[in-house]
Amino acid sequence: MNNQALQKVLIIGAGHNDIGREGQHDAAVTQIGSAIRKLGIAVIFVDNNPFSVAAENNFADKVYLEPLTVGSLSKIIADEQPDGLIPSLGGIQRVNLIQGLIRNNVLKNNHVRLLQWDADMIDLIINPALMSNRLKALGQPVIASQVVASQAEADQVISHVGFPVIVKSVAPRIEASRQLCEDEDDLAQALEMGFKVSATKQCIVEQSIVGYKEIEFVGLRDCKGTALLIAGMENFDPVGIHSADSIVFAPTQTITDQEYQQFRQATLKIMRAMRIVGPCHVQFALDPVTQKYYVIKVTPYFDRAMALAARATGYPLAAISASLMVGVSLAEVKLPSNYRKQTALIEPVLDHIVCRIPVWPFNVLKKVSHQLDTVMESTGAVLGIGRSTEEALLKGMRATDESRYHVIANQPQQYSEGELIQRLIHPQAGQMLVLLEALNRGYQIDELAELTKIDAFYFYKLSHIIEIEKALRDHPFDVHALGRAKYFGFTDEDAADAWQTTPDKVSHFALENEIHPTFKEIEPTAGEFTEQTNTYYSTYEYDNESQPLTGKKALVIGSGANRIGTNHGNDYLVSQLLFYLKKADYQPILVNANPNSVAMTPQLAAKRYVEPKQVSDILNVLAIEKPSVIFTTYHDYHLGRKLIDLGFHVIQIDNSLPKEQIKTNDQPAVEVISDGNDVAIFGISEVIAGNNLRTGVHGSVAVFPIQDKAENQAIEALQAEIKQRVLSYGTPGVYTVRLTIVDATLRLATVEPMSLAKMALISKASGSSVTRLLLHVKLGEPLEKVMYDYPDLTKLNKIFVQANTFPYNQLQIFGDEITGEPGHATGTVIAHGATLREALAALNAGNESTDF
Amino acid sequence: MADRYLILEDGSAYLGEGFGSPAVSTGEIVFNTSMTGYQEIITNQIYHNQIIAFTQPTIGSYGINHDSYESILPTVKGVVVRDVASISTNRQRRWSLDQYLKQQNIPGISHIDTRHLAKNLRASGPMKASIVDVADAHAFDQLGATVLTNQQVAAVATPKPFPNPGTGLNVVVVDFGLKHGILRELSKRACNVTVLPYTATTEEIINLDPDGVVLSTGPGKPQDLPDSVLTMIQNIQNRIPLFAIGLGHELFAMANGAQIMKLSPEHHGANHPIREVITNQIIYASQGQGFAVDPDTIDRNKLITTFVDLIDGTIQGLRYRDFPAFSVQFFPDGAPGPTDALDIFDEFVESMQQARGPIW
Repeated sequence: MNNQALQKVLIIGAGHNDIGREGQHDAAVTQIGSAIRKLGIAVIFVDNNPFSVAAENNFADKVYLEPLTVGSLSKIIADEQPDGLIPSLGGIQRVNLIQGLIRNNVLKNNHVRLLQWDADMIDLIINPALMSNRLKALGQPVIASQVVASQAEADQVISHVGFPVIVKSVAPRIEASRQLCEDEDDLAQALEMGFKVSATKQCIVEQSIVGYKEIEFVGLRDCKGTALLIAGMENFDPVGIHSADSIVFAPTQTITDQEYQQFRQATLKIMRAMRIVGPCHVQFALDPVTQKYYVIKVTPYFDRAMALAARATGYPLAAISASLMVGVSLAEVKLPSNYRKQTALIEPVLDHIVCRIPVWPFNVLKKVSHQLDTVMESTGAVLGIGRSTEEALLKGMRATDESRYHVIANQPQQYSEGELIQRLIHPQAGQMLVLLEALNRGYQIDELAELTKIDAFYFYKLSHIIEIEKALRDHPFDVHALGRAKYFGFTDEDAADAWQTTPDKVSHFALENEIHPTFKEIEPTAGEFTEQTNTYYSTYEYDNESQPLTGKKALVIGSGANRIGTNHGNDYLVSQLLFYLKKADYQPILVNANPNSVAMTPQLAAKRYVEPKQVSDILNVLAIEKPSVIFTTYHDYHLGRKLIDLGFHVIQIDNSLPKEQIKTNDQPAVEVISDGNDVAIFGISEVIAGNNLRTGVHGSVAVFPIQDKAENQAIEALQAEIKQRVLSYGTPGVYTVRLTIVDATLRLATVEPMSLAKMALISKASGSSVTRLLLHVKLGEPLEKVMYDYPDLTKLNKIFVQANTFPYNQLQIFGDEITGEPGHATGTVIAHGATLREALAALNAGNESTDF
Repeated sequence: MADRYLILEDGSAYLGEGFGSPAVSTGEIVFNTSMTGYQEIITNQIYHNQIIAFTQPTIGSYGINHDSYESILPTVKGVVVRDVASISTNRQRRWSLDQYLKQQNIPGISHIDTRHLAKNLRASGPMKASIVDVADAHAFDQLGATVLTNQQVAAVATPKPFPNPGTGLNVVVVDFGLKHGILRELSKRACNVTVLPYTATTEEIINLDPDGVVLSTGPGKPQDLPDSVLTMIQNIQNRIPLFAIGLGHELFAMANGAQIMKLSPEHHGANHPIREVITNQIIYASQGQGFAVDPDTIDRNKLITTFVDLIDGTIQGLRYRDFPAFSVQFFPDGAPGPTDALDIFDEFVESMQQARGPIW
């Protein structure tokens, strides 16, 4: 590595959220950007995601809201002349982009050093065949595979290795999908899709290892070659189900020390040989019978496994990686004072169990196949943390917001024997219930392990859960039964259901009998050292470690799993609330179980509880912290109501969604803020059809501010009426006042809470956070105090446009369901320009997976 | 399963559930933070007469495997866990942990707040503890009255020599409570090994004409061993390449005038960064140590420090300046734990080859 000191680095963001990109990149950028700035190095950040938290609040020195294309990046690099580029924070798409920058000599001509990786790493990441050869050269076992450019070439491979095979695309322009093909038809379909998304029109056909155990290791290496293991994780589901769609446990639950050390050594060896600086995620397939393993993927850029490793261990992975990226060694890393001096160098060990459970878009997109396979279909994930496998699993399932009782809508008990066996062999989303049902019907554990390729260990745990639940049902208001159930992860609500009573009564009974939750710290040394991560989870044991914070406290209930729909930006709102609560001298406390959430960034909340958000879970946290105010956001209206009914002071950030946003219309809307006594206007927006932008037309584009003089004047005339209507609404907040044209004149139509997307749009357009204003008016401050330094948006000389992105491609949805309604969105992109045409061109650029 | 108690010398009692043997037993309790390898840890003789508390919450999930023993008979006094897993047994794993501990007459106790216990022990250092059925005054009296033996090595080391034949270099292993990993690594390097009791004299060793001598790991306090051991080391180290591990390392240091101190907190895990002084490389290795070499007592004219624990600065390796004799405090063979330090065995083989001269 060149030792010349870095002065300015460029970080390319991940772009809009999507399946596989749930905020973990933005979470990494917020931490890494600020950590690098602390080292005295300037940070330039480019992204086109309006929900990027890193793009606001000074996490970077300068932010460009520009399209993520070679053209636009080339210009930024030429203008800014950074001396280093951090390549690992934008996912696979940005690796493709960097390849473009290298091929066009943009880095060379501007003397920009590629940090973290040798230049050939880019090609290894993009071309799995190259990676496979490299791994082979390192003596690592890899699966037999062959690059093909035609069906005929693929058929030749089949004649050698036979079915089943896996087909994946070379240099895919979207997150690589791996297709399992059992026959000719599957193969033809997979090749067609694979060639289509491949930049080189090639696919890889490889031998299938479906049914093996899937193991994921995350290591960390510095420029001096010191490398350590951050976490070893194990998929509950076997190879064949995309690891993001699989339940994952940290630490590994069923592998021996010999196997574990073999994977640790392989991970570190690969990282050293490829000279990777920063974290690296290596996926392995392990044949449970022969103990033979294969390396199936090497991911040196930030991904969900790294996010999970960091959350599970409490190891400050992003902050430490930031130092490594700019050439600081692990031994020299300086950490915030709440960590021990040597924490960067200690291999994390856990004394708790973490379970990550995926959530699905299938409640919204009904026609999608619910079959779980090698293509990722989950939109998000949650964590369950406990002191036993059972507790972690039950808490994780609860955190998906679909308790076991709720999901029984799936009704596996109505399956015929044949159906049940089919479901066991070909798992679908919500498979846990099928497994429980099979156990209930008396299937033997070893038989189930054989059918499902899930380790028998987990079936023992599931039958233990069934056993505990049965004991609970059989012993109403029995202290021992309740104590045991809670010890293994059941809640007041579960017991209430079993005892046919109310959670309230169970809660009283538990308190009377001194069954209290205890909170334990998530820290990387298993109690060997004192660390202060300020992150806790609940369990039912002897010792409670969480002491209430002192001072003015606000509890913010996080958004939980990333979901499809208009709430995909909710995590941005929660993060902003935490940030500005801290600025307002509150001690913000977060309850959240989403490992990929930006809100989990350590510097945002003063304290974090990684907990599900059933009422009893929240009450447990409230009993300790006793905050003066609780915030709930879009997803948690009912939870907020319940807490209000219980007498808590809750500020609910608006619940209702702007229904009209679905319609494509070109009528303007006025964006306003009110403190209850007065109203201020941000500006006027409109929604235009996205039809003329691309083929596969759907969705709509929000434009802010509109530039039509006549309309502006007409709205000016309506000001008094707008204010009156908003004030009649009563509560302080941010609102969208929709207008309609009646008899060729503009009239007021509806007033509704401003959407998250609109809040982000105005924040990005103004360069100043709308959430900050919203928070302060909600806390009862008057507008003149809140708005005094807010930029005057009538002076904006740019037009901002924003549109949703949809996961239809990844979910392989064709036909009727492609409607482009906000309820299907997984992400949003923003762009700007001097004219509307320019802004729309920028919006369209570089978003292959965006269907406008 | 039956309610049982873990009681500690400081008067604390933890209610849990018994597994393994229903016996009442007493030993010194230590906590181990390793993420994997419970079988290796339980069967490691360094834990003779000790009760091991695992901080990793799920223990027993892959049963007992025939190739993961670190000794033939475990002599730990108890196993303390948060959760013990049920498993299916098969050809690969014949016994569950529960069955195995029953066979070996070792009690286990689960459902313990092992995190609290670890924090408690971190502050207090190891204590006497018992696994009992009733935590009454009598039980605490019994615990208080129990005197633990300091003759651990004599209890676990082989009383008679035995061979572990190979076709390569001729190695004598002096057994203080040998960990099988050492034999495994020597076997991989084709060494022809003779294991001798720790009472072996210089003459007995020399008579076997070894190319190298290994001083093995073992339990207890090095000062409790007879001085004859130190004399043997002094006689051997300048004649034959010597490699000492764990307790062997402590004895090697003592034989060269250094003093051994009680280490608090102890090291029982596999996650400390250890710096190799000469290369500045950082490695990770399995540790199980209650004692350490006092750095102020090292004769720098004789010994140089080769490895240092970066957490507390304890000496993790020494080398004799003038002779091919060296030692490490940690377990370079892993089992369980990282394999970063396996090349130390290669280094030992090289030093034996060099000492033998050009024939090799």
